[in-house]
Amino acid sequence: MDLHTTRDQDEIIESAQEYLLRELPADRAPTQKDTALSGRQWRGLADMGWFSMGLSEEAGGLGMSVVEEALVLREFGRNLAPPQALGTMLAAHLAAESGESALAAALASGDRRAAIAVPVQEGSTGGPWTGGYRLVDTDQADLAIGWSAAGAFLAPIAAFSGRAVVPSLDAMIQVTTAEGLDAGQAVWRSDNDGAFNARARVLTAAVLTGGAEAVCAVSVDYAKIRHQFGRPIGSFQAISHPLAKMATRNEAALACLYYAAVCVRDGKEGRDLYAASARSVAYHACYDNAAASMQIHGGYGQTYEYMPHFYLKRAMIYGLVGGGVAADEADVLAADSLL
Amino acid sequence: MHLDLTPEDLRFREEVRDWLSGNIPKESPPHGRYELRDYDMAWQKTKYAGGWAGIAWPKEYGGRGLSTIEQIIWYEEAAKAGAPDDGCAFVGLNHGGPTLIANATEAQKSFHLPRILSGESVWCQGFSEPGSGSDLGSLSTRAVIDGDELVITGSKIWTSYAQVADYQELLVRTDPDARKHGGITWVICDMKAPGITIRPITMTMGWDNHLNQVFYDEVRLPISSVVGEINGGWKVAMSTLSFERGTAFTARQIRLAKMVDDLVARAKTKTGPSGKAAFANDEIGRRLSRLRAETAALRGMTYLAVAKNVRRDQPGPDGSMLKMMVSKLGKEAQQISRLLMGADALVMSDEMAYHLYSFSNSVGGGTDEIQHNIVAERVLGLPKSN
Repeated sequence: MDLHTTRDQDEIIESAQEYLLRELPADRAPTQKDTALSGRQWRGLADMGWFSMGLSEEAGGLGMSVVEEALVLREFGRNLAPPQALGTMLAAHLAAESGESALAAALASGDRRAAIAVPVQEGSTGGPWTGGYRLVDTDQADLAIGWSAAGAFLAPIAAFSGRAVVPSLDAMIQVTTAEGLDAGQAVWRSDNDGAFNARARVLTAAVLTGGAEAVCAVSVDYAKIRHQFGRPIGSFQAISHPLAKMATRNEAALACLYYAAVCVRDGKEGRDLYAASARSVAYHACYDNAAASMQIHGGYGQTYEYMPHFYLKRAMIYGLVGGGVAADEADVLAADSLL
Repeated sequence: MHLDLTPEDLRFREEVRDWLSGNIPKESPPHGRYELRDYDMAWQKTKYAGGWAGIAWPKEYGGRGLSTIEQIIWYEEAAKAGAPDDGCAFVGLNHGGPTLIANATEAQKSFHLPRILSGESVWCQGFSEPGSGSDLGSLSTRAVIDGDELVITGSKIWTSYAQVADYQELLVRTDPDARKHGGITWVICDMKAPGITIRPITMTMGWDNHLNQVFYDEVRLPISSVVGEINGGWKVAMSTLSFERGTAFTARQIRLAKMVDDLVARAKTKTGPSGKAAFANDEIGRRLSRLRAETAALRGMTYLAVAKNVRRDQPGPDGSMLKMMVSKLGKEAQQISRLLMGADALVMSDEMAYHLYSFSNSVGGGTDEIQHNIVAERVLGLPKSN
């Protein structure tokens, strides 16, 4: 038993950090005007192999596991990569599992992008919800993926009726509302063994964990630089203790993520409980850390120019996808035992 | 990154399970002070006879010389099977013993360690004083060197099990002129020595068999009972505290998981004043769910801490995060327990006593406030607060 990352896994983390710091640093956010990555930026992520790393080699992937995917998505979360990245990774899995190999290849290569569909009500159990949706991160995406405990679907954006681009919670991300979905145009796959939802929960938890860690780090940096009463504010316990709480939430979120990811990869007992717990814990860590960070940043924390609010918004977004934290919390309670 | 046990670990776990199934005491712990010592020591002796005391302790002092993983397997299986906790053996097994292993002379080790493991001697702690709590370095119990003896005068407080203890890990000030941490010495105090008096302290739920204040009136201890250097006690003491925040939490984490499972089951069946199951109450449901998810996370944190400790060979400051998490979740479990009690909260039941006791989670073994300071300074690199 060893919950630590291996040397190979550390290398995956380091190469992701190095690439993203160069090509997609988080501090681009306040000045980013576009609501989509350029074709060159998107293809760069695809060329790193990240959208298909979890697919088998026969399916054109790198044959890695959900653990390695989670390690990369944690870095995506830190760097405010667009939700399309999570959507596209999951869509490639769904396409491959559904025998749509050309579609999987197009997603893996960066030719096509998948937004994330959030139904305004719970979906039915036999297929996708056909009522209204909020589609997250639609700019440059021609597909949208949605999932819950019942199953997952992938549909062309054109299959959603009554679409309208609306002002978005997060100005870096385009949101489109839709009145309905023509389910006949969607690829639907029932999640009978719960494996898809468990993977999706772990990967969502990974993005949220990275966000929680990043917003803690910017707050610690700020507390060291910002002076009041002739001292760095980080020397006041009124500031340092909330920061210590953030660090503790990060540790809990990361440990739960690792534990859940290993359970999903190895099909361990308790998989669903730990996967649901991982997203719930990571969501609260990201949201609570961002909220505390806004307070620590004082007036600057209320401005678009500073970083905390970006992570607050991402917490809200990733807390809603795939059945939402409400479904996680219900499943955590319904599970048999922690032991 | 994996959670698999090796074939040897699995065999070890089977051995533990087999042994536990035939050896756990049938009767639950008694309430009286001296009966409690007899009960805890009987369990310790049983474990020792079976070869389960000191699993990760060196072989030459009666341990098994196995790894932290085996120690964790033991803690997990024992807690799952409902075995008694270490009770008044805790300080010897988790503070005193490990401190001696790291710092003591051969003579001290070969005398004390086998006695701790075999359940012959009970240890207690003598760190906090009435005037020195979080600011432990300000302690003022004096020790004057007189020939080959230390003469000790002063007082210690919050000493668990002092009346039934044989030895105490005692911090005294040997140099009043040195800078705070410089003049402190760690000494083994014989609790039968003349000049010691013990006053029980009654806790909020009425228990008076746990906490004590200890007074020292010119108590004479041989210099040979000093562990480490004279005036070098701070370093010795710190090696104990980080140990306590290491694997010693494994058993508590499993007990907490059992308690949370039990709360979930109770909330499903128990009806509240409205006639509906407590479970259907949004506040209870949501708090229970978050408590359970965070308890799942705590299990990961424990394993991750162990994996880190193996790599750096000693517990790090992140043990403080583990401690804060354990204390927070233990308190929250007791808050939910109180909500489920309803009008029965008016009765001083064992459940209510444990509810009240849970407030000590974030005080004992270093307050949450001090843990926050440790994390801020040593994990996050923030400037010292003062």
